[in-house]
Amino acid sequence: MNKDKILKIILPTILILILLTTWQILSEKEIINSMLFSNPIDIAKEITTNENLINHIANSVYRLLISVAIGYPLGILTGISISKIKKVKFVEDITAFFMSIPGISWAPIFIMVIGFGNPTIITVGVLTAYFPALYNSLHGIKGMNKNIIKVADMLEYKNIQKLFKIILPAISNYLLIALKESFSRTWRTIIAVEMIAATMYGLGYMTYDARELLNMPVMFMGIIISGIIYLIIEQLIIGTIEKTTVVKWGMKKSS
Amino acid sequence: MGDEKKLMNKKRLITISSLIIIFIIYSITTKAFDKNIFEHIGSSLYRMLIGYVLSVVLGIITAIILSSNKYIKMMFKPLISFMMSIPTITWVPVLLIITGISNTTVILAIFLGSYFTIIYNTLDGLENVDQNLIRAAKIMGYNPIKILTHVSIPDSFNHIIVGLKLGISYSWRALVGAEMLGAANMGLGYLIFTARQFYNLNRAISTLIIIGLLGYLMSRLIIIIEKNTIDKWGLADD
Repeated sequence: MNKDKILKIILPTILILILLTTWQILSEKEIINSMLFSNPIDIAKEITTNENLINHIANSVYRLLISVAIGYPLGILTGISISKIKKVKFVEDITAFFMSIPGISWAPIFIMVIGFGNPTIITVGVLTAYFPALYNSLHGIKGMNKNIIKVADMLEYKNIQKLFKIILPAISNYLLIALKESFSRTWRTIIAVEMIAATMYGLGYMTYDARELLNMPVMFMGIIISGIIYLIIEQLIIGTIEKTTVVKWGMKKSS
Repeated sequence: MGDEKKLMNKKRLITISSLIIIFIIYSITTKAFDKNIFEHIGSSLYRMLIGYVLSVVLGIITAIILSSNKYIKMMFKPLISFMMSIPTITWVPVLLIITGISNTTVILAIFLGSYFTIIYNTLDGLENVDQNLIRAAKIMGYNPIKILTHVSIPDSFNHIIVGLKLGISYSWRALVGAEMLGAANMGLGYLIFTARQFYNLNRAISTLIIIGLLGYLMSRLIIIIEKNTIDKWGLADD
């Protein structure tokens, strides 16, 4: 058992080291064009010395958090209040349709209406965070045991109490899925929208801007950093929430 | 119950198609498009088809190869989940420099959008295959390839389909993003991007609706495949 755990860390490290050294050697020996494909040492240098990187990261993460903080609760509230009406199926179809619109295609419209910069990026971010939350809360309520609401009615719970003590805990599994989806979609969308709508900072802006100067290390840095930042966010925020709610309540086993 | 469900589906179909008709009337009356709109749609769908089929085939093959050995799988899994968390759009500027402004760039972006997700989910599925089934197949004298095609893949198909569903929506996103960033001079992403340059709000909104509609139909397509395989074979989890 213990041996497996050690192997789980060592084997991937070996693989990544092999890949990086091959890349380095290939580009040093000019077997692949070192201008186009850069090399790991240059990229590492860029990551450690680039002064603006922290600004870019901070701006992107700030936009992500604001968008999710607005869009996610809004989506859930809409979902819960809508779930009582009869035409839920229709609303579900419409939501599924809006979910399949890629976030980036909202960008040109909002650039026309609002203009460049943060307002557009955050509006698109809010939209992308909103619909998964709405969709999943609708689904959650549909699959929920209706008897517990009847019990709450009998105990004369107020609406607010019903919301916080009955409905939200009952659909918390779905809420968590929605949170994950909101975060991952919004992160992707924000990076994409930054490429065409940001004016100063942002990881997407950094990556796209480097293209004009053919600055390959910065572009590869953009790819790597945006992946790492997302992994950190997922572990920190979603992992913590998962541990303090559904895992603790025994609705889901910790992985 | 069955009749009621059929009636429901009919109602849904009617509402959806009437919405589509309203949209078509809207786009005609506002003169949102010129004649070559169908060329734009066609070229987007063509790229999507090539990129997505490529990533499904290669993704499943890669997953089968990786799952052949426990240690190889351990080695590659973290790398794959890292690649999954990279927003596909960040590859586009790099691809634009390496492959230039061409179809290849868009197709590669579509490919990268779904490839790792499909590998990840297929690996998951192959991991969860009932070992007893494989033992039984071995006793009956199946060779490894026959075990794969007759036991492992059908048994893990509900995981694979999750990957396909996620993959098709990621790929569609990647396609629109790549076309917008100037990777092509045809296609829906290009159309919506030039609508901004000409300040044509009607065209932008209409294109947005077409993009959403096609994306929705694509995910429905996978759901239809799911219904005709998993549900029919009785493999659904719950």
